[in-house]
Amino acid sequence: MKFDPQKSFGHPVLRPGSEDYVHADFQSGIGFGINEKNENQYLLSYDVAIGVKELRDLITAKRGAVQIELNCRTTFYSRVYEINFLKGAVPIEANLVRGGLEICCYVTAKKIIAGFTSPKINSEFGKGAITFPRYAVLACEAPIYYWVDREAFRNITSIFDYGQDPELSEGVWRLNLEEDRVQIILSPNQLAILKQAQNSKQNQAIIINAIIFGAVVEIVNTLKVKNDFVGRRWAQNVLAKCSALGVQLGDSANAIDVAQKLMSKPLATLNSLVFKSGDDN
Amino acid sequence: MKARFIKNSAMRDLRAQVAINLRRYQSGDFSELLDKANLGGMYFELNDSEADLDLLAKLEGPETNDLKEAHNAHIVYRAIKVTPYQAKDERLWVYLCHTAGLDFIRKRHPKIMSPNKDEAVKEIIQRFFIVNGHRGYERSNALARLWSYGDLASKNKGVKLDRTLEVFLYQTDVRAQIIERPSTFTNPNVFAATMRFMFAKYKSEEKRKKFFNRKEGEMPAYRRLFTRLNELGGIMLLGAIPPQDLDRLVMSAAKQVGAD
Repeated sequence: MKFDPQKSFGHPVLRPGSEDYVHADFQSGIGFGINEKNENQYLLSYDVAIGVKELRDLITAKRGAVQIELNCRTTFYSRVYEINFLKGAVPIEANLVRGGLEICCYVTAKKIIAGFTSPKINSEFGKGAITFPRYAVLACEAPIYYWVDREAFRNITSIFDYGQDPELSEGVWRLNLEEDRVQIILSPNQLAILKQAQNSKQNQAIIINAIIFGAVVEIVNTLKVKNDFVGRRWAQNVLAKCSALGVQLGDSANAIDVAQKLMSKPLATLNSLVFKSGDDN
Repeated sequence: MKARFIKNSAMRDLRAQVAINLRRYQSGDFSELLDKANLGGMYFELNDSEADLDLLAKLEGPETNDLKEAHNAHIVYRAIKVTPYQAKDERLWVYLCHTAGLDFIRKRHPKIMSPNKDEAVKEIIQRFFIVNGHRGYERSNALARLWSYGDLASKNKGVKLDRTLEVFLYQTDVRAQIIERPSTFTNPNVFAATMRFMFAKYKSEEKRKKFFNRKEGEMPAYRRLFTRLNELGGIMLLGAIPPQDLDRLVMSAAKQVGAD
């Protein structure tokens, strides 16, 4: 259902941007993310607040229901979830959805509801009781959009590969953005040193801060100004991850800030694994 | 065997070299290019997928006025067992189109054989690759579109897939009208109720003509019904309505617009 605050339903509908009810809101508190307990699922979380007591009473009396509709245009997947509690989460199988998701929360009438009144109904509807037809929409929120790609929830380091260039000297590295994974190019000797070093968590934290962080900053700066790489797998992954984190890659985006978000504060990892890991004495 | 997905770099090369490879598209094959895979390169396989190439070999080209859409959609959907997530990966279809689907695509989309090089290249890009986002999967790519029809038809639970496909694909415009109204018809309950209504029309020769055929200067009955359902979907959450009530709603909508 397309959301339109100006649409006339023939009865009051609690929704943002509409004056059908006065001084009353409807909020769904929708969230969407990977299910930490099962990586093959997403979790659609909700925390619904209905600012009209009489509508809440309809739900309690099972004459109305709160429903969340999820639509995925890419996979042609659509489902309506009737929820029994105003706060909770429903699992979504990750292999059913991809790309853009539209999620919208509703309150609908489960049966014909006659004699409905509320002091919050706009007086333009008159003073008499209102009858809602069966299945009528009683409240709805503007849809919320998410962009999902399973790879977006993987660690950002999954977009990197190491490559070799014998011409490079030890201690020097450069990036190659032309492949599906970003290549960190090193001399064969340097690569051997890094591979050996990766065996400890402490060293991994150092590599992440010394090399990967710089690479991610460069990637973010590149994606801010160039569309050339959008078709690359690594770029799609970064863009999807930005979308999942609500990060905009516009002109004003600060690459250092964005990189820290994408990498979940890499300095904090260095703090906990290297700087604070030893005996303080 | 597991379904194969062409690697991105190989896909980019193929896309950039359509004109160079024109002869392969028209009369040759890509085994020489793609067999490199065995040496460690051009494709990868996913564990939770399956491609039945013997079944895919049963795809049929058009005969007189019959495009064999329902038959072919049934074949592709059963042969390519992937998740909806995997099915929206261009690499799957590009690999299949350049291998097991090659002969069929030549028969089904003969513009590929056009002596006009530009026309042939344009057609090849449409049919072998994914262009224009959703439309590429649902309308253009020679195999992805057939799989998409099978996937949508499979939402009509309790009815044999080939039967649903026969009615769903009976007319190109019916299919297009349904696919182009995703906010209404992606919901499986709404799709199934609409299909049940269309089955009833399809069964009788007389009703079939009345419902599916076009008359000059008049909107066909199915279009009037779909438009009305779309309108109702603007004020009701159709996907939340139980099946029996949806059947009544579709019937009543059809009556309102003279499509009953």
